[in-house]
Amino acid sequence: MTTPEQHHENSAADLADRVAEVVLEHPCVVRLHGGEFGTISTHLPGRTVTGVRVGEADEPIEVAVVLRLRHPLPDVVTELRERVTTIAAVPVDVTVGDVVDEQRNEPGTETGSCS
Amino acid sequence: MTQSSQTDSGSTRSREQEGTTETTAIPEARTGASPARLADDTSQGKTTISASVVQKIAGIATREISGVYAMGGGVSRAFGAIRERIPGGGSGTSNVSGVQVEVGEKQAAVDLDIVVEYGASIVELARAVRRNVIQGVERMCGLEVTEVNIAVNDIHLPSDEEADNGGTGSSRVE
Repeated sequence: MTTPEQHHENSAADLADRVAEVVLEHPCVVRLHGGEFGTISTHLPGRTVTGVRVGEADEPIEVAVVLRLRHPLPDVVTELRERVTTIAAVPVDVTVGDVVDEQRNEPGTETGSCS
Repeated sequence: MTQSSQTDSGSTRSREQEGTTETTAIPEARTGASPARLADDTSQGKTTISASVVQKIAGIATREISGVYAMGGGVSRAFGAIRERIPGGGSGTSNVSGVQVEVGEKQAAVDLDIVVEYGASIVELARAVRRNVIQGVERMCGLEVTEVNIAVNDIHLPSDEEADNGGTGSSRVE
């Protein structure tokens, strides 16, 4: 838990990585998604964190995810927003870029389950 | 202005904005082509659901109904193949295997192309499909479904399958 001042001083890389981490920990999240046109990403020296966009101090953090089709998406999105809010006290914009249906064995769904 | 970017030109226009304006976030991710903003948004942030998500859910809900043999029709398949090649064509309205959706901020409209099995009452089947699609999309996406248009493109007869199976074994010519 950090205050806005603190996370402003932290590098964007650190914040983006932590956001990606907590989002991926959610059992309903298959992977991060680049959003429309792949624009939801944080550009860092030498690499890009796709699916998380960290702005300046009070700007919303944008997250784009691919979800498992198990629970109503608004509920899952609310849970994701709560998780990210514990890292940074700013609004969190969540985009559901795609869903995968586990019962129909779509690719990328072998691991994990959404309880 | 980005509100009107339901068309394909929305992609280029939004990209220009991203580079030139001081807008803090990516415009098309908020008000652009496909994303839907859910009604319960607060100051905590926005939620957008891609058209492809709604499309997939509608497709699954349709196939769940027994009596639906397949999805898609000749025309929609042909246009779908073309549309996939158009940049941005899959964002605002997307079409894969007989499902077309239009997604707005709080509402969604669905067009379906289906092939029914012979023996099912088409009126009853359409009613069941419509009910299931509305229930699925409203429950899973939190979007109000304004309409579900169902086009029954073909009917599948059991004898078709036998003919197919029998036909592949013996060729007329050697």
